[in-house]
Amino acid sequence: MLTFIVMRTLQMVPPLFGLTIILFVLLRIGGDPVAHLVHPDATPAEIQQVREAYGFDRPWVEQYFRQLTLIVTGDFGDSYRYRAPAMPLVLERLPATLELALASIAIALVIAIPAGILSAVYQNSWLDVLVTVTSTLGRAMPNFWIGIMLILVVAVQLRWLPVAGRDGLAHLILPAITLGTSLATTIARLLRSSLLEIMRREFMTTARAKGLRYWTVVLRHGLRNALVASVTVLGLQVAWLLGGSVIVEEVFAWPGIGRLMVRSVLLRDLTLVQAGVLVFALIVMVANLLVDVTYAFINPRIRFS
Amino acid sequence: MNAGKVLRSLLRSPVGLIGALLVVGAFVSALGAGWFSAIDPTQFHLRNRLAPPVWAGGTWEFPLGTDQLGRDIASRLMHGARVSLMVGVFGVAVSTLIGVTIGLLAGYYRGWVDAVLSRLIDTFMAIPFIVLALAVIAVIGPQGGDNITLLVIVLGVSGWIDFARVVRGETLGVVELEYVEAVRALGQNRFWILVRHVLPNVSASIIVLVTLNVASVIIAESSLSFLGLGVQPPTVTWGLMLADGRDHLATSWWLATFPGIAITLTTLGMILLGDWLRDVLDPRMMT
Amino acid sequence: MTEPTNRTLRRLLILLVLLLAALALPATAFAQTTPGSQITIAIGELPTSLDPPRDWAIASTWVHMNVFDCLIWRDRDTMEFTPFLATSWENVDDRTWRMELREGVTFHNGEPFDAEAVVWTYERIYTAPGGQADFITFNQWTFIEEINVLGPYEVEFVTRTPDPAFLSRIAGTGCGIQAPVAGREMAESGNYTPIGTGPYTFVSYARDDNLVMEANPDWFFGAPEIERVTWRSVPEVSTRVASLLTGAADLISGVPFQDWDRINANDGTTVTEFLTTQVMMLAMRSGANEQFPDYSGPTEDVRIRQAIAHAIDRETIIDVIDGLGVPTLSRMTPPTLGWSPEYYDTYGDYDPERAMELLAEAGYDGEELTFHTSATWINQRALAEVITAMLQAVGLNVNLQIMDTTTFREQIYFPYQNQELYLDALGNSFFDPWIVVLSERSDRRERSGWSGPVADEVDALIRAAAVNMDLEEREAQYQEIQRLMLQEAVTLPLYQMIDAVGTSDRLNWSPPQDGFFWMGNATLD
Repeated sequence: MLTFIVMRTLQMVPPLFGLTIILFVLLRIGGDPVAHLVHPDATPAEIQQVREAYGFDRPWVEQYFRQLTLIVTGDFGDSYRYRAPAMPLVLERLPATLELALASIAIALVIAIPAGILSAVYQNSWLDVLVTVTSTLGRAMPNFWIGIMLILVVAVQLRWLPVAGRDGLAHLILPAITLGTSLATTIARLLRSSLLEIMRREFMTTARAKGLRYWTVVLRHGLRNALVASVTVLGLQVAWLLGGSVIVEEVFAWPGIGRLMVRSVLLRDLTLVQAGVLVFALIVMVANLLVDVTYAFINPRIRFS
Repeated sequence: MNAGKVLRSLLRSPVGLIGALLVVGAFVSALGAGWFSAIDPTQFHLRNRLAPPVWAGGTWEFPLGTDQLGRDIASRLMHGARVSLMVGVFGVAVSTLIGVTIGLLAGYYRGWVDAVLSRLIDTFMAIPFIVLALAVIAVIGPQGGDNITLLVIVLGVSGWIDFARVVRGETLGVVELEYVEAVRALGQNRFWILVRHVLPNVSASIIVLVTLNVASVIIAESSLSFLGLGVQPPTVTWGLMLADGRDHLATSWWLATFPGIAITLTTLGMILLGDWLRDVLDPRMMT
Repeated sequence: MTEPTNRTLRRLLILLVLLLAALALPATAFAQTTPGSQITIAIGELPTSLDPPRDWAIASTWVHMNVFDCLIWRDRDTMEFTPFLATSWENVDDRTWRMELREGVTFHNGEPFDAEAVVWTYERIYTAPGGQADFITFNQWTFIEEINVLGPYEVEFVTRTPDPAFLSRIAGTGCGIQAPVAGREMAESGNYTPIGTGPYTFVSYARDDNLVMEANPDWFFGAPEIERVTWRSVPEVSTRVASLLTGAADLISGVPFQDWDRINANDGTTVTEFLTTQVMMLAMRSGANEQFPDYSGPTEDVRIRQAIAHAIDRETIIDVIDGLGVPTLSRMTPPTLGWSPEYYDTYGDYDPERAMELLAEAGYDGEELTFHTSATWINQRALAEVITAMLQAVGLNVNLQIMDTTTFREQIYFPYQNQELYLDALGNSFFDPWIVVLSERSDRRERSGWSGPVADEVDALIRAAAVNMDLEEREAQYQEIQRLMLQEAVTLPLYQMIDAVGTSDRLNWSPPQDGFFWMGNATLD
């Protein structure tokens, strides 16, 4: 098991390395960030001076290796916009983003598990139709649209919850619902179909023949198997969730990495973008590692394949 | 399964049928935009700004009302359909091309080719779609004068991973099939084997992915517009209308509501159609 | 429970309905007013730096100026110079200014304020080795040649040239006086905390989220009545408006026109409009220059530029922007020296027929005019589309290119790649005319490429006015500059932008002439 975890962890290194190249290429050939570093009345000579001060005039290869050397030593360079080291700037927003992501997953599970089970058990009933219709609609609507609607109805009309910002639990609910419902639709759908499949399998019939009560069978055998399937999907959904958080953070003024990223991409704050995407990618990779380990733990055969 | 069977099965499935109808409807309004609406979607009617829809006190001149510059919303919706669907379809075409090629190569050649391509897939899989799209925009944005092409490339380049992953997995399985092994033993040209024998076996999954991804791309287009990075006027898309109308939501609801409904119905159609296709073509697949 | 039945399903339905009903009946609505003597301000973006000379964004200067005081500051209602940390000032000769400093003032950390603090604050900027790379406001302070300490509470400024704009500059962006002892320590450690003498003391800053400041009980004009001010960053306009409506914010910036009625109709909230210093303008390229040597295009011909000027209908433009602008033909808006009713608050000479005549005279034959714009400012995108329609109406072939702010800055504005037309708004936080005509000084025509005898005449006037200590003569020079620029249609200012804030009625504060969010004199009901 330990070997598996070590191997799996080592496998994260090449993608991370590839990432630094991709990011550098993507962001460096795009534009010259110097436009954001000077006063609108700056003269051409002043612009050139600032460009040289930041090393934007050096050859790309040199810039890349300089940056890579620093990254290896843990230094991601300074954000030019904040004039402060980039990585701490990203990490100080990590709690906000993780908080939102975890709350969204929690909400998604709270909605999706009962919805998925019930719609499978009561297949083709009104409940099943309701779950299917809602979850399909949820997939078809842009995130920011749901978020703005929630603000208008829940926060402005009904005044049940605060509008925006991050200031205690009440502020977390609306953004987490916005992000969580979209995730819930995916999980509920998968849970339903895998439960249906499992329930059709023979062992369920056998189990029931042994006289086990219906719900015991559904919950103990069916659900456990179905959850394994859901966990795998959850791993794949982490990247999607973080992408969604970019939008949701913008709508709800949630001070997470997503908002920082949008601003930084817009203003070509390269070092911040790089640090941010690396942190995002690490979260995704670690989440997938956890999923794989969990999966290997449940299903030992996978370790040797 | 042949086309006739698929069609008959579609007629029997209410879900698939609704999906197909919604999708066809969207395409018809996009193609027929010029015939249906006599009003130019970019024409200002400054005397008739923010006119409500006909049933909310408006007139038949602008059945769905006008926007902040007095442009006819119904006409903009239809012209917007054209660009939105174009971005969706061509964006997915780019994704499919990149993803299927990489997936086929990785799955067929295995060995170091697979190792390298799989690491590439892993790398891209770790970057959230919208973040990747933002980064791509940062690169090609300034050069591209025609921003529809730009958007197609951005969304296409950002969305190929699903295709590569699924196709690679399926190809690995297909290559094991006895007859493919037999063809290989006969010394057939590798490229020919890939196109003639492997591709048809994975096409079911590709069709399903294409349908579902067109929906994602249409939604992604609107998200980019929301962040201010989508298409720019005078080009009009549903995403741009929705993003522009959001600040008027509390006062002139029709600006954002109609494009919102259009996006929802079209993507809904795509999703229903995709789900149904998956059930029919490839029940094992999970997306 | 055994097999699933319709009965259990019915029970579920009832449960679901009850659950929804329970949700719909909260005992009390979410109460969210900021308690006690505190207010919350929601603005689009918080500062990237709390160090005044390092961040010149308008909203950042608002935050800075609540913590820092300047020597002299403009009274925000009358725009007159007011003694702050300097109690009096005297223009000794063309290049020398003496100031008496306020005694008994201490910084928030207890350090005393004296002449040393003045020297430290400004020397740090204008002697910075990296220039603009160190401080974005660097250029603004290089007018100082030296600062002499005449006594603990008396300083003397020597300027490089005679500088009629001295007071404007000394009260300009980034003027806040900083604590020298703490400042030197912070320069060593690299951790910056804003320590000023201002009405509010800095408490905490969670970047891009919120910034908290508390009343300074020892402020020399007396402790502010509001005990605690929280600044929040809320980028989405609709979210900001929702924050005000629900009481989560007491003051919000940038309220779009369509929400005015909604805020005014809401119990306890009001919209107030104010004039910004920003002027939206249609700028043109009159010719090639060093930065764009290959340029040649229709706007080189003065008659075509004049035709464009006649094709612009400012009345329609003001209508398109919901009346949120004062039409102007010049960037010199009141109370800036040189402003004149001849050029300000007037629609100009809209005359499409004359425009077509001029085009015919110039032999215009459908040559393409590239029109660049970003969507940075409110209504800018719509405005660009309307202007394009106006120009097309007189027969001009306009190729409109709308891009995001970053692309516009990186590809057009800073590499000086603007072609025939571009649309942008520029401000003037100094209220002095030198900065609004700087772009037509002969060495600064990167974007206009203007040349010829009139251009030379304007250049001489710009240089003379910049160092002219005679107020009346200087004013006449600036009026002449405006006349000549208008005559050759160099740029076309369109309107001075009007912005609006939303306030909760418990807050006694209304926006000053330039909308500056300064809470030193705000009170609560």
